Amino acid sequence: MTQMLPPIEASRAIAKAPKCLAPSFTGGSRMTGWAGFIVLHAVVICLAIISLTPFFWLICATFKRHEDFFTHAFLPWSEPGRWTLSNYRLLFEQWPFAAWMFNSLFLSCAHTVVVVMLSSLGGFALAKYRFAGKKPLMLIMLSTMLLPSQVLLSGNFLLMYRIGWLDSYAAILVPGAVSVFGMLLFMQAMRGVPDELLQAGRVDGCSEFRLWWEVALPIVRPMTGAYTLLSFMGAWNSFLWPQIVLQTPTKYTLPIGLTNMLGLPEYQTPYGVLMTGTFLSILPVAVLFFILQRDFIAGLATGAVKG
Amino acid sequence: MSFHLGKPILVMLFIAVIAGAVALNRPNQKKADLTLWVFADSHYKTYEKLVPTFQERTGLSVNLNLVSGQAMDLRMSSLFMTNPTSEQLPEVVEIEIGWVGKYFRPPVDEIGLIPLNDMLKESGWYDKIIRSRFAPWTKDDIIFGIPHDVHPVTLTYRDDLYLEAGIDLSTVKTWPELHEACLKFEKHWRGRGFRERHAIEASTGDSGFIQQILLQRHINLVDQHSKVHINDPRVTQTVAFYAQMVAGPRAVGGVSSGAAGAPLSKDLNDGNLCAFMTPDWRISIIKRYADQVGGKMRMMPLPKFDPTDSATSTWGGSMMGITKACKHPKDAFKLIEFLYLSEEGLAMRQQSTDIIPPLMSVWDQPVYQQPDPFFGGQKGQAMFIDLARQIPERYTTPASTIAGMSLTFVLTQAVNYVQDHGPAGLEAECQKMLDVAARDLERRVAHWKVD
Amino acid sequence: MNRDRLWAWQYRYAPYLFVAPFVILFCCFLLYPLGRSITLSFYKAAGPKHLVFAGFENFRFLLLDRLFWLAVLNTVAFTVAYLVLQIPVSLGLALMLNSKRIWFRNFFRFAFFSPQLVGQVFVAVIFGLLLAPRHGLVNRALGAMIPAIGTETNWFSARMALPAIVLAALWLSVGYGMIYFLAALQSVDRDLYEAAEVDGAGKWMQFWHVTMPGIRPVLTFLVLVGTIGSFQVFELPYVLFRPTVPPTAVTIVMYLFQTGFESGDIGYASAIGWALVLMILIVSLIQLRVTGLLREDAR
Repeated sequence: MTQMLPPIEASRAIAKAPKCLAPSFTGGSRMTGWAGFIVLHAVVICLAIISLTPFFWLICATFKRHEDFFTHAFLPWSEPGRWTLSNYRLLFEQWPFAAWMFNSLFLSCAHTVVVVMLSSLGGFALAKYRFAGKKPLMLIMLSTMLLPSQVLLSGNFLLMYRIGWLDSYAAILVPGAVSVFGMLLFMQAMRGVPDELLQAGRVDGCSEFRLWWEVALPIVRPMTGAYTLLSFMGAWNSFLWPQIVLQTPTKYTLPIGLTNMLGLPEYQTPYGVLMTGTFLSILPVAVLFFILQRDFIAGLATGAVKG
Repeated sequence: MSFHLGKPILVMLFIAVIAGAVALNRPNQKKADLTLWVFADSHYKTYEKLVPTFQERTGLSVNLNLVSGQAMDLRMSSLFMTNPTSEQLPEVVEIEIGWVGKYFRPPVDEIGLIPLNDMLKESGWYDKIIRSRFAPWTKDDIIFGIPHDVHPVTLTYRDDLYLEAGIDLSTVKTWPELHEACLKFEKHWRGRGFRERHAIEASTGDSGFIQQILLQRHINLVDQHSKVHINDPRVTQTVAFYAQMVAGPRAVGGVSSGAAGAPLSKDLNDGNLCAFMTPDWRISIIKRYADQVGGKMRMMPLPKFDPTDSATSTWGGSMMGITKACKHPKDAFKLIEFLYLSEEGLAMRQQSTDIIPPLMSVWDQPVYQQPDPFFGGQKGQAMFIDLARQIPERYTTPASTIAGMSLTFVLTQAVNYVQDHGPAGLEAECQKMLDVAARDLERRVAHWKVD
Repeated sequence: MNRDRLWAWQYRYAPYLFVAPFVILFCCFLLYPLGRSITLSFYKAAGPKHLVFAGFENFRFLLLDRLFWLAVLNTVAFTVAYLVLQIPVSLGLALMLNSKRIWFRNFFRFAFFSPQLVGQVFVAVIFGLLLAPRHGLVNRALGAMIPAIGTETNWFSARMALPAIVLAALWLSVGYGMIYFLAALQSVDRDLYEAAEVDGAGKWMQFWHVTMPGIRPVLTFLVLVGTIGSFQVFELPYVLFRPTVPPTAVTIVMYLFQTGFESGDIGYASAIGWALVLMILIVSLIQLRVTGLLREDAR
């Protein structure tokens, strides 16, 4: 799926010098002067403002009283007395928000560790070995990507019921332990690992497992970073499946707990509290993004981008 | 040896191991004598306060769980299909009126809930609860749920703004009269530059309003015998009427404020939407957020089309039922009694909402006869109770959801028609579209027949 | 000697061991639900004792089900509208941020990517509030900037539903596409630009003949993944239009959910699911054929 066939000249170029920064369309030397510079920044800043406005609104919403929720677009600036921290207080007092956060943190971390490890192993095998059944395996993998998860929802639930995994974290962690998408990403990245290095390692008596760990992984380090971020984000926001298998309230994750606040019109929604929970739940992923930002782009460059 | 998966993964591994030691040792919820699933946060918070008293009094342990509607749907429909007595099912469950139809697909003896007729009769509740409110929870005369509410509907309006426009809305008796009054209202306020002031809340994209009127006219889109009434001439008339109320040259409807509660209050305070269909549950929401319109609001029974129509409708609702997984239905019944029908339960409800209980035996109590300053001294609760006695029967079937969708689809087309061609020929067009919808629904119902 | 045998053994079986987790999980956790949903699509399921084999009846019903085809139409419309906007905007952003002269590159990158950090459900909730008539931020801004439109655009009506979903989806995923394009742009060789410049190619020519071929793989990737994702779109509109979804916003998966879990017809819902799988398969195959990806994959 992610295997792309670039035109010959480009692939030659990529093979030659993968990491140089290309001068871009707008940034060439002929478009000189401050005019271009200012236009470029003006456009980017405007777009950034549009992109960030919902966040700003969200943050403001967490400080608004229920009555003010719609009366003021952002905050009642002129009346600081109307600002309130009560949403935060309520969230922690009336809802087990800390427990949700803790559970989400555990599940997302555990999931990410396992899925990054197993997917990179699988990707390594697909990229660097010839083995019987590789082609059908790839076909099966690709076709699973076409399946909407909702089709399998009911069957998955009954399966968990039969094996007695309902209401356990195993029902979330185990079936999700390998990702097809991850394996394909790593397969792309691992193709860049020179065969000579692996051979040299074998001559030195390295086991295949050690080759993966000590030769392949360091080379695809950016990919690992990128995929760490992707899978953590996926786990952090995953919602449909966990809410179906988890039943004990103390086991709920952030999205389950927060979406339970959403009511039908008859059953009022505490929007202020919900927005506060949403805002707080974004913070951990945002931190991770900052940490991995550089790896993220470099990693995708070795994964999906190249042949 | 360095860690080649990168520092973030190392940190996550660390967190996972530490947190895992705690998280994985979290005890599963102990199986209680009774487990109750609730889908609404507000109900959950009410029952949370009541359950300890119940446990003390009966010695039965209760697990109260808040489960989203989606999760509830999926878990219950999967388990009802394969193993209706599974331990994973709750003993007692609260179900919303729009979601219950699907559980009525199988023949009655295979429905995942247990019949309550006998227990209701033995305990005497059967004669105390308003009969018509059993309708949504009944299939083939077997009752599967105890109603939480009646939810009669009134029309609530900004009396001050209507009077300023020279209209006394309380004299309006029919829907066409209401439409005329609304037109007059809009003309008055448009002339004074109020661009966002609308006579009545009515959206183009939602057939809920129409379904309210249809219930008033004693029409269920699909009735208890799975018969389809979506192309009844009265439906056509209603759709055509409503389409003109929200679109075209004679439009008076203002788009609904969207999500419940907060935005609505703003519209009320500013006088953007000046009349609403208000079931009893909506009153407490309005009161809570619209702090500036106290005393300016009035309430009236719904206008009618025909004299035989009911003066009210019904909107929303929920029930509690007992699943086949319950080993001691008598205990489960006690819990429902306590939460829904006992003095404590009713008192708790009285505190937080204006929702009247389906219990006729308490309707004469003085609490429900108080004048309400919010409505300028009108006896709001008394009006609801008066209307509750005339409440039309609403049935739920597996086809009800789809029928509602089909009606919305027809409404959309009708709205487009009015906008493009005006009202001429609208009824004929609606009839045509509704006939198509009826055929589609009938085909669906036939497809579902298993025998 | 024994050691050598062990070494040879591990060399031989290593790849199988490495892909074993996937194979095992696939067999344990996918085959059963897969099989169940395929079987169910040939059954009418009314109750635990009323599971009746119905042959192709569910599929026959589907062919004439106008609500299903409406859902298909909506989904295709969404997919096209979304891709037509997302791809160029993402690419444009990436080109601008890739400029050497841009200041605060990291900040802007974060600004555009950050919506991706919010879960789909929450994006839907937030947009439900932002798009509220009269008081929502979007309508307020529209009313202030273009008084003729006013603040009363009903984004939840049949006419505006599609723009509303596309708007929310764009906010959510433009940054995602941008990151991929950025990655691609960084691996285009600078020498090629210099060579082009020597040949006297203008900016536009450089873009067309150097940049585009260089990022084509990513372009195809994003189109393919975007198509598959859009065909399966569910949570976003489902939560955005709560509680009444206008008919023009019902997507295929949402219709599957409505028939399966709201109306209780699990057999028919499975049939819808498999019809969807078939559609995605066909569309993806066409895209793969057009872009010539399959040849490479078969390697």
